[in-house]
Amino acid sequence: MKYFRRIYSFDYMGHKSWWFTISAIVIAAGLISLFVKGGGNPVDGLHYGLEFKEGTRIAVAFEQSPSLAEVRETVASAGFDNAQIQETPNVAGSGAEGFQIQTPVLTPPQQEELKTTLDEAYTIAASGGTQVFALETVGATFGRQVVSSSLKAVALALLLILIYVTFRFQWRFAVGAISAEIHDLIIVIGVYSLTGREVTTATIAAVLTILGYSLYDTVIIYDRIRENEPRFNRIPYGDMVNLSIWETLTRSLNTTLTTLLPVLCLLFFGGGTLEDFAFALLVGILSGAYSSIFVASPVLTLLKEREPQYKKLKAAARADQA
Amino acid sequence: MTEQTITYIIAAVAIAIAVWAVLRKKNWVVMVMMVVLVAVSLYWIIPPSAKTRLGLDLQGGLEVVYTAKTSDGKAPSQKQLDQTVAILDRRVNGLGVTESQIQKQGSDQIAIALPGIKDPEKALSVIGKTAQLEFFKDDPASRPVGPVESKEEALKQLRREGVSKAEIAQLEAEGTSDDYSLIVSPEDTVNGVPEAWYVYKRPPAMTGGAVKSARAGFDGQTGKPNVLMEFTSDGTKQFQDVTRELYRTGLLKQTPQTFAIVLDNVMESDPMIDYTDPTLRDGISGGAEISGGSMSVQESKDLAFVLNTGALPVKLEPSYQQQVSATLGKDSMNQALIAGLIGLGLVLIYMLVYYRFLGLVADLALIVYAILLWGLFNLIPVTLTLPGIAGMILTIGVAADANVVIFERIKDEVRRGKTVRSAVSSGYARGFQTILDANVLIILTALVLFFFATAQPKGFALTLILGVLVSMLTAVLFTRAMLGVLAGFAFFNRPSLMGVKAGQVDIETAVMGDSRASASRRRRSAGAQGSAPAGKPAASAELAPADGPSAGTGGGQKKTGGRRTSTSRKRKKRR
Repeated sequence: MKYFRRIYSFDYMGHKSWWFTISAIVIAAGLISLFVKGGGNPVDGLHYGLEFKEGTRIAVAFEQSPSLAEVRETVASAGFDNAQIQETPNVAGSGAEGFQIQTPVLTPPQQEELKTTLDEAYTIAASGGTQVFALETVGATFGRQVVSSSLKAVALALLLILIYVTFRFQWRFAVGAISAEIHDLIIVIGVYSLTGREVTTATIAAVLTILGYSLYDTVIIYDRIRENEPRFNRIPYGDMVNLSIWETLTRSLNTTLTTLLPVLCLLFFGGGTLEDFAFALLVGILSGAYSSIFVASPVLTLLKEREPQYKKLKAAARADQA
Repeated sequence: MTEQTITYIIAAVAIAIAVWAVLRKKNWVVMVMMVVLVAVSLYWIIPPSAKTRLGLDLQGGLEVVYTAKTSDGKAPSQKQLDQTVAILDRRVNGLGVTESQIQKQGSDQIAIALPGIKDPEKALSVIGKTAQLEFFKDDPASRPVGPVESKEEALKQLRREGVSKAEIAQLEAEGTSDDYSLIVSPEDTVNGVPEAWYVYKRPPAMTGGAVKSARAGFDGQTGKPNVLMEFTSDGTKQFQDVTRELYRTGLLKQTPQTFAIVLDNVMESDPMIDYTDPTLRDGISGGAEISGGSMSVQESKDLAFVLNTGALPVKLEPSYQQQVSATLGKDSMNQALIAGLIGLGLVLIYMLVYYRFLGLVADLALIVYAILLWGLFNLIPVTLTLPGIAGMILTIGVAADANVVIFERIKDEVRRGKTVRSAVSSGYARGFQTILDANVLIILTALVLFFFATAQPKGFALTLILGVLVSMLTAVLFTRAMLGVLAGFAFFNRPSLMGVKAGQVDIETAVMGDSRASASRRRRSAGAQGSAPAGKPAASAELAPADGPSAGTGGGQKKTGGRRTSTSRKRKKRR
C-alpha cells in the first residue's frame, strides 16, 4: 500500500457504471410509461387533476342517505346530463360520507340551481352551522397556464442552481448537481405516471421544492469533497470521493430521516391536499438522497478524472493494484 | 408608530445584537436576545384564534380566478387589467369581507379571494355585474341608517326600523334590495376617516343614466385629483332640482346639506351644498364633481373610465373557482395541525435518541423555531393556508437538518483530537458553510416558485423562505450560544457527550497514516478516556483484508492496532 488505506467498506465510485445503469432503468421505466400512457405524447402520460381540466367539481354530504343511482337521477333530471358522480367516504377531507359530482363548467346561477336541487331532494348536511359543500370550477386555459409557468420556473431554478454551485464550488460540481436534479425530476414525474397518481398544483409546488431541497445531501457531500481535495491530493479522485461519502454518510441519512418523518406524517395524517404534497416530496426526497451519492458524486468524479493530475493518480493506483 | 413597526424594530435590534454577540462569543447575550424574540413572538401568537389569519381553504370562503378578455376576444392591455382590478376592488369592498384579496396574476388573470364569505353565489353576481352610479340625498328620510362603523350594526339598526327579515337578508347578501341600498364609505387613510356604513332608501334621486361624460382632472382650489361629470339635458335638470332642494332645506334648517355619489354601493363622494352662497339658489346647473379625499391620479382616471362606460373594461370569464365551506376548512386545518404536531414530535424524539445531549439542545432550538416562525407569520401577517402549513412542517425537517450537519461536524472535530469546547466553535464555523449553501439553494428555488406560481403554491413558497431564514437563526445562532454556555461547565467537556466513542480516530490518520493527527489523538485519549481498548485479533483480522495491499506490512499493523479496532467498530455501525 503506497497511497492510502481504505477504511470504508464500499467502493462507491468504482461502480459508477452500475449506478448509472440503475438510474437509467428507473428513468426509462418512467419515460416508457409516460409515452405509452400518453399515446405518444409524454405530456399526456400523467393523470391530471381537475385543476388542469375544464369543469366544475362539487363535493357534498347529505342528511338523508340517497343511493348513487338516486343522486344520478336527481342531477340528470335537473338538466345536468353530463355529470359524472361517484361516492366518496370522505367529502373534501371532512370525514363525512358523500358524493363527488363532476360536470362541465357551470355558471354561478347554474351552480346555485344544482345546489338548491340537491338540497331540496336530500338536504345538504350541516355541521357547525354551515353546509358540507365544496365547489371548484376550472376554465380551459387555467391548466395550460399552470403547466407552462411551471416549466419556466423549473428552467429558471436549474439555471440559478447551476450559477450558484459554479460560483461556490466549480463548474464540474455544478454539472454533477444539475444531473442529480434532472434525475430526481424525471424520477418523480415517472413515478407519477407509473402509479397513475393525480397531478395537482400542489404536486407542482412540491416538485419545485424538491429542486431546492434534494440538493441538501449533495451539498453536504460536495462540501466535504471540497474540503478533502487538498488534504488527500495524493490519492485517486474517486477514492477521495468515496472517503467523503463515507465520512458524511451518517449526516446524509439523518438529514433525510429528519425531513422524511414530518413528510410521512403529512402523507398519513394530512388529508387530501397535503397527501398530494407529501407524496411528491417523499419520492423527491428519497430520489434526492440516492442521487447525491449515486449521481452527483459519480458525475463529478467522471469529470475530475479527466484532469491530467487525477488521470495520473488513477493510472498509478491501477498499476499498483496489478 | 404601530404595534407592528415597534415589533419589527425590537426584533431587528435583538437579532443584530445576537449576531454581534455570537461573533464576540458573548453567549449569554445571545440567549437573552433569544428570550426577547420568543417573548415578542408569543405576544403575537396568543390568543391564536384572534391573531392567526386563516386562508380560505382553512376558514371557508370563495376563491375565483378570472381570465380577462377584451370585447373582441383579445388579451387585455395592462392598463385595462389595472382598471378592472380597481373596479373589482371597490365592489369587493362593498361586500364587507375583511381580508379580501384581489391581485393580478400573469398577463390576463385576476384572482379574488374572499375568506369567510357566507353566500358565495351572491358574491359572484355582485362581482360580475355592470357599474351602477347613483345619487342619494342625505336627509333622514332618504338615509334611515348611518353612519355606523360596521355592516352588521347598520343592518341591526335597519331591523329596528321594522324592515322585514327577508329584506335584511337580501341586503346583507347583495347590498341592494327593492327598497334599500347598503352603502359603505371606504376608509380614508389620508384624512384619517374610518370606514362607515349607511343604508339609503331606494330609489335614488338620480342614476348613472343622467351622466353624459366624465373626465379626470384636478380640483381648482386644492389641486387634488377629481372627476368631473357632465350631465345629459335631462340629467342637468334633475341635478338642478336635487341641488335646489338641498339648498332650500339647508337655508330652512340653517345647516349645510349633502348628497352622496355612490358607485357600486361604495360612496365615492359626499359633496355639500353651501346654503350661504346665494348663487346656488336655483340649484347647480353645470356638471358635478367627485373628489374623494385621498383619490390618486390613477384612481381618478379609473373612476372616470367606469363612469363613461358603466361597465368593466374587459370581459371576465371565471377560469378557476374554489368554494370551501367553513366546516370543511376547519376539518382540514385540524388534520394538518395534527399531522404537523406528530411530525414535530417524531423529529424531536429522533434527535434526542440519536444525539442524546446534543439532541436535547437541538430539540429546544426546534421548539423555539416553531414559536418564532408562528409569531413571524402573525406579525407580517401571512395568511395561513393548507400548503402553507405543509411548508411549515417541511421546514421543521430543514431546521433539524442544520443541527444534524453541525453536530456531525462537531463530532468530526472531536475525533480530530480537539477539546469539546474548541470543537464546538470550529464545528459551527465549518458546518455553517454547508448549511448556508444548502439553504441558499432552497431559498433560490422557493423564490422562483414564489414569482412563477399561482396563488396556492405561492403560500407554500413564502412559508419555505421564511422558515429557512428563521431556521438559520435558531439552528445556528441559538444552538451555538447554548452549546457555548454549556461548554463553560466542566461536565460538558467529555467526548462521549458528543456521541464520540473512546478510541475513535481522525480519518486522515487512518487513511494516510499521518503522524501529526495521531499524535494529537494520543494526547487526547490519554487525558480524557485513558487508554483506548486494545485491538482484539478478531477485529483486526476483519479489517485487514479491506484493502489488499495494506495488509502486508507488519510494522504498520502494530503501530495502528488500537485505531483499527475502532474503525472496524465504526464500520459495523454504518453498514
